[in-house]
Amino acid sequence: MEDLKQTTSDPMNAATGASADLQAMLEHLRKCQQSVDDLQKMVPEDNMTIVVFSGEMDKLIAALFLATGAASMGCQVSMYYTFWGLSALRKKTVYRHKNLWHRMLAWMLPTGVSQLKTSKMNFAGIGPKLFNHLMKKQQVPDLKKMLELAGELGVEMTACTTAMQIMGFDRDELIDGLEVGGVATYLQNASKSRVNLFI
Amino acid sequence: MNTIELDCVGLCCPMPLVHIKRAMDEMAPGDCLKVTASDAAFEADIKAWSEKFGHAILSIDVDENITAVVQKAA
Repeated sequence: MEDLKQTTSDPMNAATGASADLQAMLEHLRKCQQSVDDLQKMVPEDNMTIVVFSGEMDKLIAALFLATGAASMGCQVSMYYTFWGLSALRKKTVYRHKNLWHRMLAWMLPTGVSQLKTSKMNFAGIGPKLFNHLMKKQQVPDLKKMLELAGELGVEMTACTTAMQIMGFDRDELIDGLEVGGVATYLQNASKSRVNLFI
Repeated sequence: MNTIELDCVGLCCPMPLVHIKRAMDEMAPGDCLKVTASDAAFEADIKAWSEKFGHAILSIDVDENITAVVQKAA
């Protein structure tokens, strides 16, 4: 009642009061909008990240099949190749300008997906041949084709720079169309993704 | 409204999805895709796939193969 009296008796004062109220409301609205924006940044998107740590044929099959499947379901897929996983991305064996240990690694590690061993039943290289034969019979594409398909479907592939340095792999030894990145690159994507796998 | 047929018989997961996605990308909203596959997971997969994109499944027939008709969302 006190307020009402005041407003009726002093219209100028009432207008100032209303304007202040409006200002406060606008400020509140602005804060709400900011909170919504901040929250939206924290909501994971329909993305998927896969850390490919292993360098075995069967594990790469799993990783690439999930990646291509997810890409077909409209997910943005990022694959991070690190440590043994880097072997799958090698396109050539380079010994020049490398120290003894890096030459040894270049020689001992598989060069590309076609040279990967299986994690079980490798039988000195017979295992991968057997699985390739069985896959062909079932019209399942081999790893080389899956890698190409992943690229076609827009799967992003990143090679871990630290692992590259440890193993002595240069960028030009790895297949084309790769990004190089570190933990921050991975985490930036992973924190926005609903599905994060480590294979 | 067009109906496009797609044969994925003999293909294993995830290849039917890859082919369906490609076919669907070329289609106009309202068009139907009649896809036949033999993969045992296909019935569940096509349902999940369609729901993900909001496409409507008009029919699913399961006999020797699985045939689904999916209408592209507007």
